[in-house]
Amino acid sequence: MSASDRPSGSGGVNRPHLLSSSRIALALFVLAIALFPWTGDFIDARFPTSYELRLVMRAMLLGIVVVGLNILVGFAGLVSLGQAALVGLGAHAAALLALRADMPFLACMAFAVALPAAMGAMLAFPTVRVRPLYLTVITIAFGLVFLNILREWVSLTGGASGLTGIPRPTILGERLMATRAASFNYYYVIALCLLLALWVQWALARSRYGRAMRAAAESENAARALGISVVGIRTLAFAISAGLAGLGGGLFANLALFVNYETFTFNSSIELLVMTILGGSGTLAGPVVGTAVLYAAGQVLQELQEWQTFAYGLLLVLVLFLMPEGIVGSLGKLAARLGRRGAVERQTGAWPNFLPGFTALASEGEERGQATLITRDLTLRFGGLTAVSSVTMEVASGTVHALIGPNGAGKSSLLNIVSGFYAATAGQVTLFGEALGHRAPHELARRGVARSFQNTELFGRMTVLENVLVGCHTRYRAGFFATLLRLPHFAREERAMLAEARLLLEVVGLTDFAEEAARNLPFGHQRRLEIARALALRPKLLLLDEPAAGLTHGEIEDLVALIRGLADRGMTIILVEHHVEMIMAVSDRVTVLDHGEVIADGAPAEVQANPAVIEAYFGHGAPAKVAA
Amino acid sequence: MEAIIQYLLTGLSVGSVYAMVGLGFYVMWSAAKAVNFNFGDIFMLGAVLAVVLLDLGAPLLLAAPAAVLAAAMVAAAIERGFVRPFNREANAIGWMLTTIAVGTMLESATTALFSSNPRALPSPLAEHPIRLGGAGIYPQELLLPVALVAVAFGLEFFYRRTLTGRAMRAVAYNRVAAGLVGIDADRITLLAFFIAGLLGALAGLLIGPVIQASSTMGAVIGLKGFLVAIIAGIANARGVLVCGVLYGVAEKFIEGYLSTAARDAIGFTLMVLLLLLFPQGLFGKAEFKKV
Amino acid sequence: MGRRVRDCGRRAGLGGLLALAAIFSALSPAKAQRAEPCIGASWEVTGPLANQGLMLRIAVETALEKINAAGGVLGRPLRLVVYDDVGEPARAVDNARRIGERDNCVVMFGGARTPNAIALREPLEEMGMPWIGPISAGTTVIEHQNGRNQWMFRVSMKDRWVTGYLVDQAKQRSASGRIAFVYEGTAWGQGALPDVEAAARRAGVTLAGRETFNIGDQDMSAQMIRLRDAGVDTIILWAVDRESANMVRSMDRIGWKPKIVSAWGVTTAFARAIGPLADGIMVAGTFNWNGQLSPEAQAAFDAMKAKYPDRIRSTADLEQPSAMANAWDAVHIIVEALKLAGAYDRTKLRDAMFRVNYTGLVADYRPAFIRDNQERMDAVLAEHYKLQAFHNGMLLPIEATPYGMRN
Repeated sequence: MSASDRPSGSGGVNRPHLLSSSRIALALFVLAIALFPWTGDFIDARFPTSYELRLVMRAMLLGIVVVGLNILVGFAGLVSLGQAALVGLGAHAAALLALRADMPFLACMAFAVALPAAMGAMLAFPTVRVRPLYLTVITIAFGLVFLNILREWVSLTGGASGLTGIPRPTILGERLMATRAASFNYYYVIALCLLLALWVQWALARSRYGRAMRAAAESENAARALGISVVGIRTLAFAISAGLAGLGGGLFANLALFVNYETFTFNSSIELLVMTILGGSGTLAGPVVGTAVLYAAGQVLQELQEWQTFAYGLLLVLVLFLMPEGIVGSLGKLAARLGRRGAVERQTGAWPNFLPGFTALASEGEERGQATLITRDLTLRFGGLTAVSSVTMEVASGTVHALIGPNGAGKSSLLNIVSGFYAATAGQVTLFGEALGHRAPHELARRGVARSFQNTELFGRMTVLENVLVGCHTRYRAGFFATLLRLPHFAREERAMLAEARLLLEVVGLTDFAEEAARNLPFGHQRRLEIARALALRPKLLLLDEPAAGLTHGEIEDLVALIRGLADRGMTIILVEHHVEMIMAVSDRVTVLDHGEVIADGAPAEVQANPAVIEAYFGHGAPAKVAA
Repeated sequence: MEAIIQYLLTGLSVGSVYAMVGLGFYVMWSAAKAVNFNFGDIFMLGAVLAVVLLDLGAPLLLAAPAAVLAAAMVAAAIERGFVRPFNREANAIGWMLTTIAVGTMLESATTALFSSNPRALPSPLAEHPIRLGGAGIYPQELLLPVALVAVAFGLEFFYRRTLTGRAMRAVAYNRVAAGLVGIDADRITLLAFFIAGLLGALAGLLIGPVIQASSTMGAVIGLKGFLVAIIAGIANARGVLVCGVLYGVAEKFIEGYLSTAARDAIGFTLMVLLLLLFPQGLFGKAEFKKV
Repeated sequence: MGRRVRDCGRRAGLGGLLALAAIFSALSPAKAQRAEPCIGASWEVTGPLANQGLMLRIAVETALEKINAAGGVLGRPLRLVVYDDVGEPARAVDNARRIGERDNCVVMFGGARTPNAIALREPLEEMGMPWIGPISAGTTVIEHQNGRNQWMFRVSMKDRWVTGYLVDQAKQRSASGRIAFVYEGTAWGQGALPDVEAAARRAGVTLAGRETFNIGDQDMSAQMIRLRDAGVDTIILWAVDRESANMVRSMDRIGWKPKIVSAWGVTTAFARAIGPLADGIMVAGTFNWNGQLSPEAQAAFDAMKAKYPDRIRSTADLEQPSAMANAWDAVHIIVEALKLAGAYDRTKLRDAMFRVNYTGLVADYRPAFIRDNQERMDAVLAEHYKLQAFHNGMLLPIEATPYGMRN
C-alpha cells in the first residue's frame, strides 16, 4: 500500500510545473463549473434547466461540507456522525439572523461559519483527550439533541414546520439568484465557496497543520514526542471541519429560503461520511468526486422506486469492496503502480554523513559540564507495582549516558517520565537547569527533548520527507492564517524547513527515499528515519530507546558513529540499550537499573566490573565477567 | 405513587432492551474492536422474521427460536462478509461504512418485502396486562428483565467456564497473542457476532409483541444501545447491563416529570455530561497507555 | 511520484463531474414550452411511510389506466412519474424541479408531509406548475401567510376544518367535558395544535391536556397517566398507525380507556397491528370503502383489485381509504380541467381548475376550487367529512358500528 495517494508535503521546493497535469485538471474543473450555467448557449438547447442547476448547486454545497469532513476524517483520523447537525446549525444561524435581526447576507454567513466552528471546538476539546471514538459518540449525541431542540423550540425555529420566508440574500444591493436574469450570481457564490473550501484543504494538507493532523492520526505518541499538542490539533481539525459544515449550511438556507430539521438528520450525517469515504478520504479530489457520484446516484436510482434505497446500499458495498480506499484513493494507487514500472533503483546513502550544513544547524546545546538532566528520588508506581524506585541520577551535557539493566528494570519507564509520557508518582526532575513538575510530552519537546521509540513509531502512510517535516513542527513561526493564505513569510519558512529536512535525510543516507511511504522502508531505514525525525526538532537532549535492536552489525557501527558524532557536536544523549559492546564503545557514563533501583553508576569499565551488576544480569554465582 | 411504579416497570422493560442490545455491542466490540453499526437491524429481524414465519404457518414456539437463530446467522454473515475484510488495520473505519451500507440494504429490503406498516407479533403474554392499582405491565414486558438476567448469567458462564468463552476473552485481551497460542481468532470473532446477534434478535423478538414489528423498529434502539454501551465503558459487561437498565428507567422518569418531547435531548445531554465527567465510561477502568 | 498520483486524483474528480454532466445531457433536454401529458408525484416511496406512497400510486395508476383506456385526455394518454422524497423537504424540491423542468409534466402530486409542501411554494410559483395534495392536511400547506397561494390545490382534508369537526365530535361524546389533545411531534401534529386550540375556544371547550410524543416512540405511559390523572375522558388524536398503536397499548397497560376521536393518520394498518384494542376508536375521513358503495366507487375498487391482485384483495387492503379516494377524485379533476383548458399548458390548466364541476367519490365538487379565495384552494369541504370507527378490526362508517350513539 502506498502513501502517495495522500497529500504530499513536497510542494515548497519542487514547485509543480506550470503545465502539470494536476493544474490542467484543476483548471478544467474550474472552467467546467464556470461555464456550466451557460451550456445551453453552446449546444443550443434548454440546458441546464433549473433542475440541473439545482442539482449542481446542491452537490457543490454538499461538497463544501464533505471537504470539511475530509479534513476531519482523512487528515485527523476522527469520525463525526453529527456533521449534518453542524450544517443545520449554520443553516439556522444564517436563517434566523436574516429573519429576526435583518442582518446582511455576508454577516449572516460569517456567523454561519463561526458558530458551528466554535461549537465544534467545544465538543472536540474535552472528547479527543481520551479516545477518538468518543468524538464519534459525542457527535451522534449532539446531532440528536440538536434535532430535538430544533423540533421542540417552536418559538425560535418554527418547530417541525421550520422557518419560512427567509429573505433573498443580497450583496451590494444585488439580489442573489440562480437564474439567467441574475446571471446565475448565487450559483457563482456557491462555486466560489467550494473553491475556497478546496483551497483551505489544499493549503492545510501542505502545511505543518495538515501534517500534524495526519501525524496525530497515525501515531499519537510520536506526534506528542515531536511537540504536537494532539488535543489542540484535533480540536483545530474539528473546528475547521465544523466551520465548513456551517458554510455549507448557511449557503443552503439562502438557496432554499426554507429550513426545517428534517434536512439535518442522523441519516444525512451518515450520507456525508459515506461521500467522504467513497471519494477517498485523505485525498484532495476525493470529496468532490464522492459527493458528485453519490448525489448523482441518488437521482439515477429513483427509477428503481421502492428498491432505490436498497440499490444505494448495494452500490456502496460494491464500491467499498472494489475500491477500499475510495474512488480517488484506489485509482491513484492503481496509477502509482503503473507509473512505478521502470522507476529508477534507489540508492541508500552511507551514514552518518555529517555535512557542513548539518553542523551549522545542530543546536548549540548547553555549555559543557552542565547537568542537562538531574532526577531526585524519582518514583513511579502502577498500582502495587513499583516500576521506578527513587532514582537519583545526573546526566552531563554533551555526553552519552547509557541506561542499562535487565528486562523490566525500569529503563523505559524512566525514559517515559523524562519525556513526559508518564507522570512520576514522586520525585523531582530538573531539565536544562529548570526544576519541572509534570509536563506533557509536547511541552518538553518544545524545550528540546527528543526521543525515539522502542518499537519504531513512524507515520507509516506519510512519506519519508513528511515524517522529517513533522519533526520541524515546533519551529515554525508562521501562524494559522498566514499558513492558510500562504503569505510570503510562510512560504520562505516552508522552503527553509524543506531544505533542512532534505539535509537531514542526506545525513542519514535516505535522500533517494524521500517520497516513499515510511512504512515501505526496510527496518534499518526506519530506524534511521526515526532518528532523522527526532533531529529535526533540533533537540538539546536526545533519548534513544534501544536504537540498535534488530540492526545488523554494520548498521550498529554506523549508529555508534552517529551517536558519537552528535555528542561531539554538543548534544546530550541518553541511551537505553542491551547491546553491551555498543554501550562500551559509545557511552561516557553508564547507570544500571534493577527492579527500578539504581544499582551502579559510573564509567563503562567501572560498571562492567561491578559485582552487583553481574549478579543482576546473570543471577547469583555467575561468572565474574560480563561477556563483552 | 402509581406513576412511579409505572415508570419503574416500563423503564425496567425498556432498559432491559437497551441493556441487551448494549451487551450485543459489548460482545462484538471485545472480540473485534469493531461492531455492526446497524445492529438495530438484527434486533428488527428478530421480530420481523418471527412474523414472517407465523405468516407461513409455523407455530409460535417454532417461529420464535427460528427467527432468533436466523437473525443471528445474518449477524455472523455480516461479520464474515463486511466487518472482517474492513477491519484489518488498527483504527480502520471501513467496517463502519460497510455495516451501515448492509444495514441500509436490510432495512429497505424489509420495507419493500414486508411493507412499511407495523405488524402485530401475537403473543399470549401481551394480551392482558397485570394491573397494580393504576399502573400495569404486560407479562411479555416482564420477560425482558428475566431474559436479561438469564442472558447475563449465561454470558458469564460462557466467558468463564467454557473453553470457547475463555478463548474469546483471550482474543479480546490480545488478539495476536491469542493467535500465537493456537486460538483461531477469526472463528472466535465470527462466533462473537453470532452471539451478539442472538442477544439483539432475542430482544427484538421479546419486545415485538408490545411495540409491533416493523422495518424501522430497530433504528433508534440500536443507536441508544450503542450509546449506552459506550457510556458504560464498552469493555465492561456489568457496566453495560446496569447502564442500559438505568437509562431506560431514567427515560421514563424524564418523560414523567420533565418532558416527553425533549426526552432524548435531556437523556443524551446527560449521557454526554457523564462521558465528559468519566472519560473512561462509568464502569470502565482507566486505561494504561503503553508507550 | 506523489504528485503524479495526486494528479490522477484531480483527473478522477473531473471525470466524475463530466460523467455527471453526461448523465444529464443523455436525458434529452425538454425544449417545448408546452407541458407533457404526465402527472408527476413526489412522496415517500421508501422509509417508514412507504406504504402511503404505494397506496396513492395504486389509486392514481388505476384511475389513469381507466382514463387512457377510454382514449386519454385531449387525445393523448396521461402517465404518472413518481419520485421518492424520503420525507425530506430539500429532496421534495429536487423532485419538483425534475418534474417541472426535466419531465416537463403538466401538474404534480405531493405527499403527506407539511414541510415538503411548504418548501415547494417558491419553486412551484417560479416554474408555474400546479400542485395537488391528495393526502397532506396541514392548514399551512394551502393557506399561506401572505395569502397569495396561486398554484397549490388540495383534494384532501384541511386540519383547520378537521379540528373544528373533531372538537365538536369530542364535545358531543365527552361526559365530563374534559378533552385532551395528543399529537405527534411533526409539522402535521405541531401544526394542528393552534388549530385545535382555536376550535376549542370557538366551541367553548377548555383543553384539559396537551401531550406530544416523537415518531418512533414505543411507550406513552407517562402522557397517558398525566391525562388520566387530569380526569380526561376524551382524546383528540393526531398520529399515524405505529405510534397510535403504541399509545393504545399504553392505555391498556394502565387500564384506562377514554374515547378517542382521531385525525385520519390512523388507518387499517393500525387495526391490524393492535387487534381488538382498536375497537371504538373514531376517525374523521373523507371516504369509507367498507360501507354501501356507489357504482362508481365499486367500479374503482374492482379496477384496483384487477390491476393489483397481489396487493388489493378486499376493501380492507385499501390501507389509506380516504387518501385513495381523494387521489382518485384528484386525477379526475385534473382530467376535467385539462379538457376545459384544451391544451397541455400549466397556466391554462391552473386557470381551468377553478371552472371544474365534477361529481367524485368523496364529494360533489361544485366548483372544485374558487379563484382568489385561498381557503377554497381546498376542494373537500368540512361538510364532506365522514366519521368512521373501528369495529372488529374494520374501519366502518360510524352508522354501521355500535358507536354511533352519542354520550
